[in-house]
Amino acid sequence: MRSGCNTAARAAVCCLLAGLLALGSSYFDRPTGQPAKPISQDVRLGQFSQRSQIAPPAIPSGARVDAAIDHQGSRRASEPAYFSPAERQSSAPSFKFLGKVTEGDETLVLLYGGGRTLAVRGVGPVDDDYVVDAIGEAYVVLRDVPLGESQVIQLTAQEPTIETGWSAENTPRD
Amino acid sequence: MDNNRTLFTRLVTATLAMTGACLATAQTQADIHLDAATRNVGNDPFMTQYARAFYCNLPEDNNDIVIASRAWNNTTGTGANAQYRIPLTQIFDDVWFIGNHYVGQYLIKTPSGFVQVDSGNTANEVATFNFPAMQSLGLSASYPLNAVFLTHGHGDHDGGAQWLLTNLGARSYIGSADAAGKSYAPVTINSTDLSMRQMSIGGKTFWILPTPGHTPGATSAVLEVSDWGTTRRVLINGGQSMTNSIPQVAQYLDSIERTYSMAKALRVEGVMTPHIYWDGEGAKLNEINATGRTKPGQHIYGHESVMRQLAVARECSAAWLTQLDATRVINTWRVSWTKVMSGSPTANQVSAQVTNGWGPLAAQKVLFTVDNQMCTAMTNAQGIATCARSFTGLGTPSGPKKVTAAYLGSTTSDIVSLQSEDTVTITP
Repeated sequence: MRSGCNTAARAAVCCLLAGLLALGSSYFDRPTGQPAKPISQDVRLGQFSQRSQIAPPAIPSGARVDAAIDHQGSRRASEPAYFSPAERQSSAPSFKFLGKVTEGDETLVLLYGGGRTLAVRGVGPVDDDYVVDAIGEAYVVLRDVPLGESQVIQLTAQEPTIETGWSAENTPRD
Repeated sequence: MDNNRTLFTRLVTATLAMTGACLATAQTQADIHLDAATRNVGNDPFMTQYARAFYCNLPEDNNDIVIASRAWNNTTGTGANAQYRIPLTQIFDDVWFIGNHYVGQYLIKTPSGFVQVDSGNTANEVATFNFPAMQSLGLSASYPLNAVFLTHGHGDHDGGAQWLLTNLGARSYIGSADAAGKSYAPVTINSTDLSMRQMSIGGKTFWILPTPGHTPGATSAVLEVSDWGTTRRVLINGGQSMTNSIPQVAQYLDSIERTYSMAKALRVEGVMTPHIYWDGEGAKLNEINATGRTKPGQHIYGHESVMRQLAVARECSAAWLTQLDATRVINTWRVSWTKVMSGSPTANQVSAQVTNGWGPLAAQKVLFTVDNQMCTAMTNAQGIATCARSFTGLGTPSGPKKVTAAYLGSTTSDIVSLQSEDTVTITP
């Protein structure tokens, strides 16, 4: 937290100075009578349109393949992270296989992605947003209804990324 | 003069606005996730004091609270910290806790014998406390300790495993990545298969989920317990603290996300964490020993609360990961709250409000279910969704008995707005 505060404090000072300089020049350059635009809104709209132009990954046979997904679900895009959901276009979460659960005579396939958990019973609607178009022993074809996108999810176990030499002996307790 | 004053006022106002905008963009990823962890707590003082503080202890640079808790690890019942011992305490119909305020074990009674979660710090501790405790609960040749489930391979969790094997013949189960070099010949749970699966351990069904991160072989689980005769599901977290290694913390983050999904899918309502200080179970145990078990039991935090705690943990680990690696951009999980509006449903409509720690959620879809009758509506600027339709039989004795409002969540590249729902009973 200390380093975060220092960073924020430095940024605040820099921004204050930059803001004064920018304001001075922009104010006097602005034609008389023209209202100043809300700068933060311009930035947001610019980033939004830039993002929407990003091409999706290649989709074999019309469906996105699970193996192409970043294992950690993290993104290294240069985007700030402060927008309300209503301001933003939805993007389909990438689902991965969590496991199978047997309840009575029924076996459910559990999928997870983007904080969402789906319990798949078979072909058909999963909920209001998702439909299973096909299911096999080793795969599920899941369609995002609002976005019209499909994803092929392999029903195989993920493997962890375990560093060489990482063991219980060399990690802190608690 | 007036023009100069106006110009000056504009300059000051615009400068402040620009500075504010700059500050917003200057906020680091770690700051954003720490802020999300705070907002996701939802003004819950208990979660602020425990789960929020401990899961976020590394990114907030106050690891002191974890280090200090190690002083509570009394294994002998003697000495200056003997006060931190916790006697055998019944938490569910079939589960007892024993240990101290740093770490403890859970004794589970099954029809065929005991199953224990974690094995204590040392052979002496198990011989001194756990063995007599099990005897007091009926340990015998015909009612043995069948097995021990080890959350991971640190000594404060598996230090008594050899004693339990030697003296009671109980085999321990541990994630394979933590099994190397263990003297107690554990049965291994495949840590390289991250899928959730059911497994019988000593005759007790565990939903197992390998959750590497704290250690490579850390394993979380969900169990069914009996709480005043009601079957409830509880979560055993495989290990909480994070390391300083970026790949290990990234693995931890993935594990906590999968744990969240497991708990969601199984509708987990309670917790049984070995490190009881981490999520406030120590305070609950004190309460049980002072005033007795409540109904439902103190360890039944409620499904919403368990999920919120895991979402807080997820944000804390994202904060730590982005602090270690400032180039990472990770989307933010936001807990939402859906509430069926007071007085709803009426004869002609049903309403619910969806909010989160940032305010009301506008333009979001809410699915209403009034028994078997369904409809959907979008939230307005106040986060209120209203479905205008009549529901057959509403208000009559044979009519609908409950209404559920479910917000299915939404996902953008930056923000995951988590699902939430509310169910209320209709009284005619």
